[in-house]
Amino acid sequence: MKVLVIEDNQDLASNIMSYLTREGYVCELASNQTTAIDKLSTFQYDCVVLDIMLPDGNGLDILQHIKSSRLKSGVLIISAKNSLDDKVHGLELGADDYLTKPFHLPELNARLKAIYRRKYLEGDHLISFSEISINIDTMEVFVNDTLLDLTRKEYSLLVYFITNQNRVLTRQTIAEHLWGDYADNLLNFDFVYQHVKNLRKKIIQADGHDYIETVYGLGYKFNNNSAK
Amino acid sequence: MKLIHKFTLLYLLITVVVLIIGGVFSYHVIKKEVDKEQTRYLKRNVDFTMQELSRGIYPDSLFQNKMEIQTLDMSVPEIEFFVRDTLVWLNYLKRFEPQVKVSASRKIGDQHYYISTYGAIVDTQDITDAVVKSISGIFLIMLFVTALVSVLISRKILKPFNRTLREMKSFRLNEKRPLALMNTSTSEFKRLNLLLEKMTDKMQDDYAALKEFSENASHELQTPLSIIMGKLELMMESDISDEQAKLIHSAQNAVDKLSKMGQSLSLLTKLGNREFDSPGPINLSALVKECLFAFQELLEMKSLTLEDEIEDDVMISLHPVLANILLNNLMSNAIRHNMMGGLIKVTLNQDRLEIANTGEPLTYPAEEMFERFRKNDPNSQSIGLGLAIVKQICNQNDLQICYEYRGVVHVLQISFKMLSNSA
Repeated sequence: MKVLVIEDNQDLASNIMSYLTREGYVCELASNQTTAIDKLSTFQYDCVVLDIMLPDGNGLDILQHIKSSRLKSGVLIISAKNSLDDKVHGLELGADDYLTKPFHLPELNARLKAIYRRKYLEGDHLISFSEISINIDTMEVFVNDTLLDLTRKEYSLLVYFITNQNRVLTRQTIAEHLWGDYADNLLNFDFVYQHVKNLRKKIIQADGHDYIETVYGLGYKFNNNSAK
Repeated sequence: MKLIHKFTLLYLLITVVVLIIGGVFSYHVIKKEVDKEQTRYLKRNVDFTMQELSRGIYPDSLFQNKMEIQTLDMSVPEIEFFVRDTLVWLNYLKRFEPQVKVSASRKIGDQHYYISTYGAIVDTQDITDAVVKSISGIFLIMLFVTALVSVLISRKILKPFNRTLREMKSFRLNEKRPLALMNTSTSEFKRLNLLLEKMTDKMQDDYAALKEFSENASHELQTPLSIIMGKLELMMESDISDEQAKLIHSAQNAVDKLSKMGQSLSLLTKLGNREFDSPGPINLSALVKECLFAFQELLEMKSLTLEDEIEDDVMISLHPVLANILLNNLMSNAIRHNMMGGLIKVTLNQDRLEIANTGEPLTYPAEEMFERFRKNDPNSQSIGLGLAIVKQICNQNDLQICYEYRGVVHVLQISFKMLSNSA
């Protein structure tokens, strides 16, 4: 996947770039509106990570440019403004998703992948990882061709893990992904543990390998090298 | 007591005093005039009698009522007119009345006559009556006119003042509406209005500047927080020891908390800016059910029993985003401050929403519950803004919120004015 990151803050941009590069994406950076529009007109990107506040303009103008030039790129807006208007406005202009700062990098990755899947892999509803295959349309999960009986949350958790393989996912990151706003005031993450435990159990029961590894003190990791 | 009433009363009091003094004064003036007239008449009478006597008419035939004619010794000198007051018994009034008495003596021929006569055109009683009557009449007219004028004046002259009072009462610092004061020709009110306008303008400017600052501050915070969060996440990927992992984790917790605090504060600011106008009535019943469903797992996690009595189609006028925040904050509050195996009871009907939960009693006075950064347990992970936000949402949408501790149960109740029943 080829991604253009439009972000004026060097540090934040480098965070995003290193996370996404390690994910195997080809990443390019534009730190202002002019460069961004230049790059967009020259190259083709699958996804654009777009900061709304830029030194020489508003990110929404770039979004309009993308739409009016009929570029196929998916657009993920990142903004410090958690304002509803901006969100609605951005999505109305044709952005595919909206993420509020501060965000977790795995969450950014998951959202980008989801956009990519929706936009480019229209015929392909399957995510496969060794013996696990997920049908994202029917939300069914098979392990060695056995249908797993997963709850909605366990399903989302598994997709999140597979999207962020070999990454340490903290309990906060997972909680925020699964519960969104509801996780806001509940900083008790025992329930993440509960869900991970159940998911593991169900995969193992279906003769799957236990890929989910507990990282001491931090959270969990979906380890794709642990398969023997 | 109203200012105009005070003025009127004082004015009337002064009027009474002045009228009493005036009455006494008039009485004396009239009395003096009447007495003067009476004296002249009596003197003429005496003169006339003297002339008659000098023409040789016999005194007895000159006898008249209220007059006596005596003869004095020739050796006594003549008495010129001598006027004095005398008390006369009046049969028809059954009392003594002060009357004027005029006496004089003249030597006519070889006789020395002494003539004395008295009388009154008007009784003093009559004068008093007349004065009292006219003064009371004047007073009554005065009373009536003053009362009427004071009512009219207070309506007319005090109108700008009352308007100013009303405006000040409805003045809200966070509204950008300027004061709509009335033009007035009264210089005191002009000065008052000018002063208030200046003051409120200044207040609003300062408030706006402060608000803008806190808004920007909470925005600007988000980018560095994003950077920290990202760096920590990247650091976790590297080869780290367990000890380092712990450090990273607690740093992450702190960043998380900071970010949530920033978001909550900026939400409060936005609420203050009234950025959420209600687009119309929403179905609160549906939202409550949705919210309870979303919290299902968390309830189970803490082994809480949920009892709900939710009436269908309760419509209230509230922005849906605010309604969600309100319900989330109340529910997570009820869960967080609950005990293992406790109870939560949610009641929704046309008049109110009530969320009751078991829990430890508060460690601070209940009135402080809705203050910002008020926490039962200072070490808790919560940021202490949840209920402040709830309160702010309620305040701005004409919802009444109150808190009660019944036994071991905390009850938060929101009562609303209903728009309509089911559509």
